[in-house]
Amino acid sequence: MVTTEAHIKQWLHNRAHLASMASAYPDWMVTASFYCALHAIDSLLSHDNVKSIISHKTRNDVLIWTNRYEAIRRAYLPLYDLSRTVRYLAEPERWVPLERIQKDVIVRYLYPIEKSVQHLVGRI
Amino acid sequence: MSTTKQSQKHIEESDQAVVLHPDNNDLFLRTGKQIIAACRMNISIDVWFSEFNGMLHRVKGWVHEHESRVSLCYCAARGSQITFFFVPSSDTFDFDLADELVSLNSELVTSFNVGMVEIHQIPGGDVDRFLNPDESRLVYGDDRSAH
Repeated sequence: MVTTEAHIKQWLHNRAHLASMASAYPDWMVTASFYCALHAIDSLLSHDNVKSIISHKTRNDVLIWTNRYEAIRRAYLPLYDLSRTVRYLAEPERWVPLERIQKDVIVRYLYPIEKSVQHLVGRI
Repeated sequence: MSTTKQSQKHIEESDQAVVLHPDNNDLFLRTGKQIIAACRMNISIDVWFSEFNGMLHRVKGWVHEHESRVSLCYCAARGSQITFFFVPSSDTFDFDLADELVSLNSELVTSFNVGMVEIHQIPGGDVDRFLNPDESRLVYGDDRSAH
């Protein structure tokens, strides 16, 4: 099982990548945000000794069925949905305009996930 | 002309293409059997279908409560999973609708014993990229303008 610390390291790695991305790539900013969130969540699940995470489906199921993760679920599932869709679109900026990335993808989804993970892991 | 799941279909004489959506019970019957096996659910296919139809009824009701925000809704079977695709009324991803779809997704998963359920919001102009309408059930809306 991958350790909590390893997931946190990858979370921070992806975070640095997201911060470095040019505004010409809003679709990839969604994807980068999603993988920041995924590793943040997996760090928490590792911390909580949840061992059954072998796919997106099993991760989503754990989030849906566990009250402890309610705040994360509310932000993560839309981000999962959005990232799954946007990567296949020929004109992704029409589906998610650049002006929505910071306001909604990052502030509305990624920040609450990170904040909740930090709280539950006991890092803040 | 109507292409929705109604007991009567009125087809007008015109050059317009006709797209019919059978109820696809055979497809969902196969899917139900796969799900029961994959998830090791101790229920019969009849019980699964009852749960599935209950879920469809709930989704139809939910869409009618949110019909100003939803243009189309499909239900598709994918392996051992049921997926609902929602096309918003807007041309862009509807973040407020997405929040409400999370609640619906959680409700469906925890209220109906049908196995894995996912919900996706997709653009109306790209429906064909995400699902095969011939292997899906139109739950809400008129999809003549979508493909």
